[in-house]
Amino acid sequence: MKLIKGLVLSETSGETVGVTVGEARKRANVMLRMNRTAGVVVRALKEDRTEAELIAILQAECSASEEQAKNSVANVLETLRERALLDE
Amino acid sequence: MGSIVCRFADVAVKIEYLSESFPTFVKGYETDETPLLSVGVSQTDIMEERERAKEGARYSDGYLERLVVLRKFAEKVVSYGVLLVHGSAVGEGDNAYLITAPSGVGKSTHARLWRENFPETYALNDDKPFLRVTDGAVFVYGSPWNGKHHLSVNRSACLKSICFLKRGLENSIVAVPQNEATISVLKAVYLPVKEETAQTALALVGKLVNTVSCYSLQANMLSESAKLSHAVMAEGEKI
Repeated sequence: MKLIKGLVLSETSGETVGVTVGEARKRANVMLRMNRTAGVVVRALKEDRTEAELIAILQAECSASEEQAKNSVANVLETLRERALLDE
Repeated sequence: MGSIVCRFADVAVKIEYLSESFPTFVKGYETDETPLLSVGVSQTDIMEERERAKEGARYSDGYLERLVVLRKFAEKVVSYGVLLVHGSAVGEGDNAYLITAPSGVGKSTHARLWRENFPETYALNDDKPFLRVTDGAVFVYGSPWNGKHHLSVNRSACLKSICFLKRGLENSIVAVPQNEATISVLKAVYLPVKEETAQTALALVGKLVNTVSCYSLQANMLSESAKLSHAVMAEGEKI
């Protein structure tokens, strides 16, 4: 799975901000503010990833336990799916 | 039909237009500089703009052509550090203040209250000013896209603060942290269609909120609301 084309990410004041532009806006008109954990997962999804890969990335980058990382990844993926921001 | 070179936000652009009325629309913005950008309008662009606009059928081709030019210029000029914003910009000497809100909330009304209560203030642009974001300063520019009251001047001023306006029975103003301000500014800024250009626009917005003060203003649209916002935004009164 990976992010849809047209979700643009930017780092501002220590937060990741995501905005859909162009054709992607017709599918999902979104402006998102993300905390650090969500930002790490969403940035990783610029490339095609499995859930297991995302958990490993989060553990490495945020020093999270496996349990914490699993929960965080599941939450972020749920939000992205709800907003039609994932290509699977 | 013809072409004309104009200067918006210090960027010279060659515009190939269709409508006879276009040169009148941009009067005062013509330049003999060598253009850095070019924008052309086709009948297809106008048709697409008509489909995009709410109640597009009631607009003339000339009006829609102006929107096409604005959209295309706004897309290209991002690479020069310039953003198009939906808001009312008020000037006071060499400083400027920006009032943003969704359509119908009262940006123009609040800006008029500033002008009525503070005669040294003026309408820099009442609808769609340009912002040039540089290292350490943001400048606001008038443009011919100046809203239903046609209020604009062809000059620039240094942006000191932005307020995100809401209507309310009571008047209040609070500072908005940079991370919250980013989303509010993004809602007011024209976001380019191309992903890489949008990335540049987002970076400019990040720089903008790091440079100017941002406030959330609740206003009852009476004189006292303008006195409050002016005191904080322009006179630096502590909240």
